[in-house]
Amino acid sequence: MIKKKVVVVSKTGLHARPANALVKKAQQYPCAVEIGFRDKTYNAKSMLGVLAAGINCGMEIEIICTGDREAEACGQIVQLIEEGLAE
Amino acid sequence: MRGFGASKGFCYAKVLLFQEKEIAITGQVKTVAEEMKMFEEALRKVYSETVTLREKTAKEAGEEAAEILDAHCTILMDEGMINPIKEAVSGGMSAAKAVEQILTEYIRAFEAMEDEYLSLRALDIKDIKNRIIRKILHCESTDLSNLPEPTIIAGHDITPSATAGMDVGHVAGLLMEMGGNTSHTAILARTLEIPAIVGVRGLMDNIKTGDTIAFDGSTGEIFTDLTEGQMAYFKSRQQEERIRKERLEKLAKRESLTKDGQKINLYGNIGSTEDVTRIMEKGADGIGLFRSEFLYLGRKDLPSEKTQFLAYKKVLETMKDKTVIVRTLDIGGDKEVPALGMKKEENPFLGLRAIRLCKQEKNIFKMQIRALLKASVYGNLHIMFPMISSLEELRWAKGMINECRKELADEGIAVKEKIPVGIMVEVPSVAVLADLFAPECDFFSIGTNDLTQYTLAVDRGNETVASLYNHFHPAVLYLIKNTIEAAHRAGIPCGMCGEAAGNIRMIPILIGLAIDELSMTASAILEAKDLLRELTVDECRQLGAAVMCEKTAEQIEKLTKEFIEKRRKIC
Repeated sequence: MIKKKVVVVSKTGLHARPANALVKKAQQYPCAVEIGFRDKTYNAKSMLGVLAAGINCGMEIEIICTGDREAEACGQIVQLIEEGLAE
Repeated sequence: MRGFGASKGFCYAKVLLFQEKEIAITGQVKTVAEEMKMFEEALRKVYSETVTLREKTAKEAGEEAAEILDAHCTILMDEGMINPIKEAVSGGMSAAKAVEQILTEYIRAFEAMEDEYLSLRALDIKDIKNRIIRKILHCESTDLSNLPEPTIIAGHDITPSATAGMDVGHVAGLLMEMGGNTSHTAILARTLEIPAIVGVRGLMDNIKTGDTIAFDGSTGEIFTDLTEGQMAYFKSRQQEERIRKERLEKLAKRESLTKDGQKINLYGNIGSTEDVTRIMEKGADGIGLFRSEFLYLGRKDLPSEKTQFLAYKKVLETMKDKTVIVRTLDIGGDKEVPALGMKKEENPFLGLRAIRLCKQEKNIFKMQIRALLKASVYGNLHIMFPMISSLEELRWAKGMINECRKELADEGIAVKEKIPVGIMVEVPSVAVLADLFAPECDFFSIGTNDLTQYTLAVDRGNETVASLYNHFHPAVLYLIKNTIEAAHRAGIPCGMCGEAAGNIRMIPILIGLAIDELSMTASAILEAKDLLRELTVDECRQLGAAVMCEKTAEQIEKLTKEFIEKRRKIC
C-alpha cells in the first residue's frame, strides 16, 4: 500500500468534470484506489463515491493505492490533481 | 399559483399529470442466484435503454441536453454502486431492497450538499434507483412517449429519463413542483424552446389530468379554473404565438434581404463551439463575434496552442466558406483568468484589458495568433482585435501576425494567404478618428456595449447609474455613423456585434446608417430577419437622417418606436 497527501486545487473541487477526470484516471490502474478524507475512505474509481465525499477546492486529501502498479498509480493521480484535473 | 419561469413562452393546453407509481418492495427473497440475476438483468436493460435515449436526445435536443444521460450511463456502470449492491444480494437481501438501500445512502449524501449543482444530482440518482427497481419489479410509470395532442406535462418531479423518452412534438409545456433554474428539466425545456415553470408549490394538489390551464413561462404565472372568457383569450394568444413561431422558423432558410432586396448580413455571436449549431439552426450568414475567452476562463492553466487550434478548426470547418470573425483574447476588466495572476485594479474597465494585456503578455497572444493562423486553412477566418485605442496598438498587433506567419513558414506549416484583419470599434478615440484607422484595417465591427459605456462614462454593471446607459444617446449614434462612413470611404465593410445589433428598435436606424452586417445572439436572429424583410433601405435612410437631427435619446427612441409600429401588422 502506498499513500500520498495532496491539496485539491481545481476551482470546483472534486465535482463534475474534475471528478470525472479523476475517476477515469483511477480506472486505468489495476490496483485499488481510494481517497482518504476526514477519517473516511471513498472509492476513487466510483464517480458516486468521489462526488459523495464532497471535496472542495483547497482541501487536503490522501490518495491510497493498494495492489498492482500502486506506486505508478499514486504518483500519476497525485500529479493529475496537482495540475488541476484538466479543468 | 406561480413558480419560477424556467423557459419562456406562453402555453395553453390540457394537463397530463406525470405520476410515478408507488413502488412496493416486499422483503420476499428468491434464491441468491435468482436475485442476482434479476439485478444484473435490470441493470443491463436500464443501461441499454439509457444509451438509446441518449442517442435520441442528442439528435432531437442537442449534446447539452444529452449530457445528463451520459452521467446516468456513468452511474449505471459505477462500481461504487454495483459492488455494494451485489454484496448485499450475496448476503441474502432481495435485489430491489439492495438497490433501494445502497442508492438511498447516496441520495441522502447528495441532498445534504450545499452546492446546488450537486444537491440536484440527488434527483438523477433517485431517477436511476427507481428505474432499476421498477425493472426488477416489472412496474413502469406514466408513459410520455406517445401523446395524442399538445399536452402540458405536470409532475412533482419530471425525471430526466421521463423527459428524454417524451414525445417532444406534442409537449406544449412543462410544470414541476421541484427544481430550480439549473435543473435538467429547465435546461432541456430551454434547449427545446418549450415553455416551462419549475418550483411550483402545491401544483399536484391544484390540478388534475384533463384540466385545461394556461401559463406564462416568462413570468412564472399559472392560470387555472379558467372562465370561458379567459379561455377564449388564452386560446387566441396561444394561436398567435404559434403562428409567429412557425413563421419565424421558416425564415431560417430565407435570405436576409430587405424588402427592396438589399443584403444585410445577419451573423451570430458565439461563446463556445456548441453555440455554432444554435446559430446555424437560425440560418446565420456567418459568425460576427467568436468570443475566444471561453477557452481561457474557468481553468487554472492556459489552453495550449493545440487545444486552441482544434477549437478554431472545428468552428471553421463547420461554417465552411462562411465568415468567422474571431476576436482575440478580451480579458481583464471583469473577466479574470487565474493562470495570469492578474492584479486587482481600481478601474478594471479602464485598466489592463484585452489588447493592452496581450501586449504585456506577448507569448500568450502569440500562442493564440499561431493557433489561429494554423486553423486558417480550414475556412474563412477573420481576425479581430478588441479594445484598440491607438494606431500604435493596431500596428503592433498586425506586426505580431506577420511575425507568427514567418515563424510558421519556417516550420513549414501552411497558412492561408489572405486573412482579413479588423478591429472592434469600442473606444471613443477610434470612433472619433475612424478615418485614420479604416485604411489600415480590412473591416470594422462596432462593439456598442463598451462604446456606449465609454462614451457616456457609465459603468454598465452599476445599477445606480444603469438608467443613464443608453445606445440611443445621440453621441453614441453620432459615433456609430462616423465609424460606418469612415469605413465606407476607405472601401471596407462595417458591422456591429454589441447588444444593439440585435435590438429591434435599433436595427432600422443601423440600416439607415448603412451598416453592412449585424451580429447577435442566436435567439435574436430570426426576429431580426423578420423585421429586416419588412423594411426598405429608403425608409430606413429617412429614419436614420431624422434621428440624427434629434437632440435626446428619449426623442430618438420615440421616433424609432413609432416607425416600427407603423410597419408592423403583428404585436
